[in-house]
Amino acid sequence: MDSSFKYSDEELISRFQQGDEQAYKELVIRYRNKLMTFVFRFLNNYELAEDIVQDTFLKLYTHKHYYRSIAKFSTWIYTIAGNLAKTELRKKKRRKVTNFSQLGPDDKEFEIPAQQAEVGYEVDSAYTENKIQAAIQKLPLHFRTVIILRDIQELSYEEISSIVDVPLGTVKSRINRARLQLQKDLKELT
Amino acid sequence: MDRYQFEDTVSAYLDNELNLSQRKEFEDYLAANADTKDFVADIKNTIEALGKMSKIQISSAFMTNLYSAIDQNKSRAFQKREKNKTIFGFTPLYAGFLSVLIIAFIGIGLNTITNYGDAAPGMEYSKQDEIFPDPKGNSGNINPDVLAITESDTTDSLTEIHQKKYNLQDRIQLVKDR
Repeated sequence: MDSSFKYSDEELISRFQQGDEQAYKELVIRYRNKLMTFVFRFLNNYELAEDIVQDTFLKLYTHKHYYRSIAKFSTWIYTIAGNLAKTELRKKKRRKVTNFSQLGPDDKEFEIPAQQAEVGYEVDSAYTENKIQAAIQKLPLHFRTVIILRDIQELSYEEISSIVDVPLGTVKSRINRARLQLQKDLKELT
Repeated sequence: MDRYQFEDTVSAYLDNELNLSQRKEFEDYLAANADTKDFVADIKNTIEALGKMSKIQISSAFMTNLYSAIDQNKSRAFQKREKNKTIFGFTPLYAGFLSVLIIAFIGIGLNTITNYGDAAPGMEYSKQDEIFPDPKGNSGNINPDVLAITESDTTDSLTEIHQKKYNLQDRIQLVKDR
């Protein structure tokens, strides 16, 4: 958390639990872009990512009393977003399987829209970024989650361990293996 | 340290997560194997490339959409609460039915009790009518006692009836009379 803030995340959620709606708004402002980056890198779909982030904040609103001050707010909110993103990915996978199985011999092939066209942000090197994003998408889910949280979101190993609910040693091992896999895929770029 | 151990600890080395002895062991392996330096550099570049990836900004309509979703959720929750509202554990519909049923039972019960109360004296009157039939030929639930009070000659009539009823002297024939 940024130390320049007047209230910590935990103070804000506590105030929100007592009915302060302004504290909720402050939390949304603090985390909306961080969560958006995390979910977008995970799903590679801007609109879907925004829906997931919205659902995450809606869950925060409706289930505010589920938060216990023993955990850091950031790990709690990332856990919710990560779980929702994984659920969405499973649904997407099921839909894709259904669609392909229903495809007849005379049916046209799917035209998969380019995701980057939907993304309204500027990059220094779109080519490099697309390559990295594609390499991230190739990673298994448990590697993908930890590598995004560590190298893009820059969270600590301990925080990642809390978010994905696996031991610290496993987190370190997964991050290392994800980096090795990415390095292999991106060798031509580096 | 062998190649596998080296690859397993490369991230920990770059993240400065190794203790002094582990770090020394790692650096010794690096110094002994020339190709490993490039490998470590590649991993480092990958990490840096990931870190340089652009941060995704949420759309300008996000806050509006979020608050609209919250409002929808609130109204859904309110409707659900209203739907699940109970009166003594019954839904309003069932409670209504039950109330109508209870009122009907009470109504029928009261009506039955009232009719029963009326029917009992009525029966007495009809018996009295049989014993003391109305001289004017009126039938029904007319109390002969009331009739006796209202009609002035009732006492005489009663005496006459009594006399007629018990004056059996004309009808009794004694053996001696034959």
